[in-house]
Amino acid sequence: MHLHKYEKVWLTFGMASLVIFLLIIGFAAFWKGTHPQSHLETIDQNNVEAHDSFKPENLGLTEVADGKYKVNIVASAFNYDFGVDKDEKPVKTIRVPQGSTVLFTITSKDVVHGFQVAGTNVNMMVEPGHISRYEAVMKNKGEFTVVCNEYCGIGHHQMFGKVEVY
Amino acid sequence: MAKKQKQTSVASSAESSNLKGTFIMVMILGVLMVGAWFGAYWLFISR
Repeated sequence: MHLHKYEKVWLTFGMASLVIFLLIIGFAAFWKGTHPQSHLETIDQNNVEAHDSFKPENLGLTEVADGKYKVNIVASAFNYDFGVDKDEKPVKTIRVPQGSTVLFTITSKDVVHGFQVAGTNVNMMVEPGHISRYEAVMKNKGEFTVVCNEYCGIGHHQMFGKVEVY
Repeated sequence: MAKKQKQTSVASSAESSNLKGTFIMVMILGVLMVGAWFGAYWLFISR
């Protein structure tokens, strides 16, 4: 088969890109452990309080070590439950210092929700019956809005929160 | 004899066809795709 010189160049370029991108996916999945955020643990969606992470007193922000935090959240139509503050008022803002490592653990009581901390890499699908986790280093200071990015019903647009990195 | 002549003319037209413009467009597209990929990677790293 005869191939033009230029055809050989762009076929090589195309095939090399394919091989490189496949290698990157393999590296990310098998060496770096990048997987869908909800692949590890299942839960009974009608009884999320039975799970240790989602007991009402364990919701919201907890410092687990120096510079390491965890945030447990229960999503439901149309609210993120970050627990309550000392005045028994629902928490709407999570405050963490810059550079801290934060593990977000979230599940849904009803339908599929989204959990995106807009402007950071934290972006998960929250499925009923599954626990989604994402650990992120909060590198940049600022106020980041938490939004639901999976249409979950009539009050979808009212489902939000805030993460403040100081 | 006629058949042989036809074969050589096809081969020579493929050899001489000018693919420079196609080559440039393919490379521009390739650079855009690689650029978009590195752009997304840079976003992931910087956030």
